[in-house]
Amino acid sequence: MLENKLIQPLNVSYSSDEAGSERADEAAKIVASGVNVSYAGRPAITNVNLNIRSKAVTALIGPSGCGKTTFLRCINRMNDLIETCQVSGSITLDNEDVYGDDVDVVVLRRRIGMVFQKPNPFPKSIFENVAYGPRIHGQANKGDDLNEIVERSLIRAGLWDEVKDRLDAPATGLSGGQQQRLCIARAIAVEPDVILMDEPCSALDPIATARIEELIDDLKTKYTIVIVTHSMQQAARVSQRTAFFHLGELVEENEAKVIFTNPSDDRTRAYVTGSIG
Amino acid sequence: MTERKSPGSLSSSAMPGVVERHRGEERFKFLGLAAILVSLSFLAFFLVSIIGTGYGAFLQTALKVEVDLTYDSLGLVEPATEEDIANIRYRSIVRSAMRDIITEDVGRREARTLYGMLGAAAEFDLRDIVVEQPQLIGTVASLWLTSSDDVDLYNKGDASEASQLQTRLSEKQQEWYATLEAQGRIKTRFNWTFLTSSDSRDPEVAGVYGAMIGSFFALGVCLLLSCVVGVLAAVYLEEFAARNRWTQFLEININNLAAVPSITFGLLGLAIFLGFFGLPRSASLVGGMVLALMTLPTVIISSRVALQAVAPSIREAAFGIGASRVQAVFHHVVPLAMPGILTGVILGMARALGETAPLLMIGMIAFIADPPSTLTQPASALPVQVYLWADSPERGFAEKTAGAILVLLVFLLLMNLMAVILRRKFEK
Amino acid sequence: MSTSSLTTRHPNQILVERLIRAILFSCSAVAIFITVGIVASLIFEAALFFQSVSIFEFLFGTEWSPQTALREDQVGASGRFGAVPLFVGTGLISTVALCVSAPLGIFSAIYLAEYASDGVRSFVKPLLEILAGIPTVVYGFFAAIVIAPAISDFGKVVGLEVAYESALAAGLVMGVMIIPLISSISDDIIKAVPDSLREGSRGLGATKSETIRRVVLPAALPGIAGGILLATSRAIGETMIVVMAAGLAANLTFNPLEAVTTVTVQIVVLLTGDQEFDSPKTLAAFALGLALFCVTLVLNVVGSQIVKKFREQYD
Repeated sequence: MLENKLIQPLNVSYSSDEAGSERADEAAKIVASGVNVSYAGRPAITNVNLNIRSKAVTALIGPSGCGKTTFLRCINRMNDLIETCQVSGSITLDNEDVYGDDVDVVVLRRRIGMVFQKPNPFPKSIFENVAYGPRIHGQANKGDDLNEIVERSLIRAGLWDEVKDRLDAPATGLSGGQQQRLCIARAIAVEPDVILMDEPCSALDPIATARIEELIDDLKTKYTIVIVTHSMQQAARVSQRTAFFHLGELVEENEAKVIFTNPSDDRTRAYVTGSIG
Repeated sequence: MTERKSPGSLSSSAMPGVVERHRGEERFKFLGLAAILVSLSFLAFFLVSIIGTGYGAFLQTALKVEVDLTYDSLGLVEPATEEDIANIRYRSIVRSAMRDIITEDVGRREARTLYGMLGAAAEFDLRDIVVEQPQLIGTVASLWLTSSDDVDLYNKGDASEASQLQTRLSEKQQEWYATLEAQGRIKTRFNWTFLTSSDSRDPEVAGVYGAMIGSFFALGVCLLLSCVVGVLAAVYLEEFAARNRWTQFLEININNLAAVPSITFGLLGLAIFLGFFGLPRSASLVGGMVLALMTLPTVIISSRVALQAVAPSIREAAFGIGASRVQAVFHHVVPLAMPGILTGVILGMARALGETAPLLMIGMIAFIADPPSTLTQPASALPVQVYLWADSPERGFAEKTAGAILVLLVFLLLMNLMAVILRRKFEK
Repeated sequence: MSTSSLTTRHPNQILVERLIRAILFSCSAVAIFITVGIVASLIFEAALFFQSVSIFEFLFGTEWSPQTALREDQVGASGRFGAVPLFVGTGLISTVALCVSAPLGIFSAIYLAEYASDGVRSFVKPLLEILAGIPTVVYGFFAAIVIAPAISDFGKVVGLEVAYESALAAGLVMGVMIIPLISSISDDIIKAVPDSLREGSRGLGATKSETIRRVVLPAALPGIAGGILLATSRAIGETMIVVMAAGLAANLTFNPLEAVTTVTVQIVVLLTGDQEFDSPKTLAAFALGLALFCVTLVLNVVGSQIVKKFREQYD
């Protein structure tokens, strides 16, 4: 939305020769600094500092319980839904504090969409699922506008050809992979800047997973994507930048290639070579 | 100074309609809260109006009179025998006592309204006192006797004009009332009669004792039948029955029985117990049987839940030391499930205690002036008493009805408390 | 005689076990006997009734006046047994009851399931349950003594003629009684809607109430509908409230301000007066009982099936 001139430069010292990161001066879309999260007093993540690059895929990896999902849910304040959850530090979106006093989570979440671990289509028709977001946000309420948004979103999510003849069929009748792509279509229908994905393929078979990965690769031209995954292969395949979390700490963040081939921290090395996790 | 865009692009003003949406949020939440408050205020209104109407039933108005019990005036010779005491004409003693207080000259018709201020209850009072304290004979005793129903209502009603207008006391009686009150001869006391006597045509002597005994008998029968049959049926279904069509059919059947309108069980009782087996009408035995039919499904369902809650490891442990299935179940599983089973049984009994419709079907609707002494005698029951009194046109009974409801609610409260305590214990 | 050491239980013991099993089995079969007893007695007596009154007249006749001839030689004084006014009256009062209890029950459930803290929940739920634990005869008294006069007086104030035994008064109080039934089933159902749907909606920026209205409630709707069917069955079968607060005369009307009578009221009226066991008047009560039993059975079976299906769907 609003362009911000005060973008902090990334302190990246690696050269970015990876195919997905064309520009050398990528903008940081999201900047987390000193983020601490605790559930009912028990710390879940401590002092996370991370810059997330615009229009690229950033993967968060690490053993289960390392805090990567917790961090992801801080970005669009989904953790607000958990009463005992306490967040400190700052996370900015386009240099504006997400936890600021006048921030409205409705507005925030319109700009930061989310796709969940298990496909969670609403028990409505395929059309209504995609139309849900635009409807509640008043972006389009009826007729052609809405049809257009739904069609565009489904096309972008690579689902259009499979469902265009049965838009009124219940979404729950789709296969798991189709449901997850529908959820992605649902998320992009409100035209967010950022899409958060929380292990989006963990409930899917390899073929469906491959389709979602392809889709993620396409989407990065338009959206900033943060994906949590427990699969290092997936992280290596889809992400330009990868962040490794361990025991609630951000251990290391770098070009995906660097993380997987030449990490600087021993813990990262141990994880990517399979000796911990 | 930090450079801040104001207002921020993430604030509510950055998107049209969001402020209104948040307002809608508050409205919706308020609707939910309002629904709860309305429901609970029904409850509060309900309790307040029942207690407000009913507490009067536990109070009665007494008048202090000097009763002349000298041998001369009784026409007896010392010492008085028991037979003498039984034959005393209490009515005329009470009447002359009233005449002694109101010394003004009254005609015959007026005299009758004067006597009307101390009704039948006063005679019973006096008789009870004399029987208990024969030494009073030969003296002039100053005694508190229960007033008539009209005086009672006049006393308890507030002094507002409306209730003064509604009273059935004549102007003359109101005058006398004022005289008595000025002499300190009127007091309000706890109405033991209400708890110790049975139904009567006179509101001032009517009580719930007979109905309580009737309910007690019926509940006893109900408890015995539904508890034994229900628990054993639950044990069978939970511990012995194979999972086949027959048990499935049984389960569906039991679940549906639990939702059958209670009046249907009354029809069953009328057709089978009275019509076919010829058991006596209005008897608490039949009442209890009908209530047992009604509570049985509830008892079975809750007992099964309690049995399911017993850890399978208990059964395995019992089998492990060579117990047969019967032994394992009755020595180990059932005792552990007992608090849960009892909780369900008590709640079932509480429901049975409040149930009226099936009892009406088997004839427990008659006017019964004496508490039953056997299971087959005609009896009343607390909720039936409530129904009968509620139907009565006499004003004094409105208060008695609410009073009987309070007695019923106290019993229900106690039973539910028992169930809660048991459940707490069970959860530990 | 050589028995294996694994079969040395005393034969008596085995006999006792068998006996106990037989006793247990017969106890569980009692439930079947009750059902059979209900169905058989209702059908038997109703069949006797339908020998003198045609089933067609009973189901579709619009005149109900069960007074039969006092003496056998009386002419033309036989009762009319058209039960339509009773069915309509029952439906009318039940509708009023549902209009009260459905919104209150469902909104209470929404608040309890979605908004209330655990503390409030554990306090309010038992309070609401009290409403279900109050004996119906007490509700009846309340309806007849407090609510009915109040409604009638209020009607006078606003210039409406409201019968003292209006369907509105009985229905209103019956509605209050049913609130906890609807709220506890709805609460269960709403809680059974998976959180992933709520997260999906909140993640898109929907507010909590938008999520509830547009996702949770539509998802819970079938289950709640099942619960309402169960509540309807409860309302139709309710006896004491209507006996004490509704009318006695059969009045074919859809106006809730007028007095109507119901199936259960007529059963009580027919069976608590002076009666001969075999008069059509008495037998008519069983025919009404049969109709009541059939309708509530269907509602219960369908309602509980829907609720059960719903729970399984998200298990």
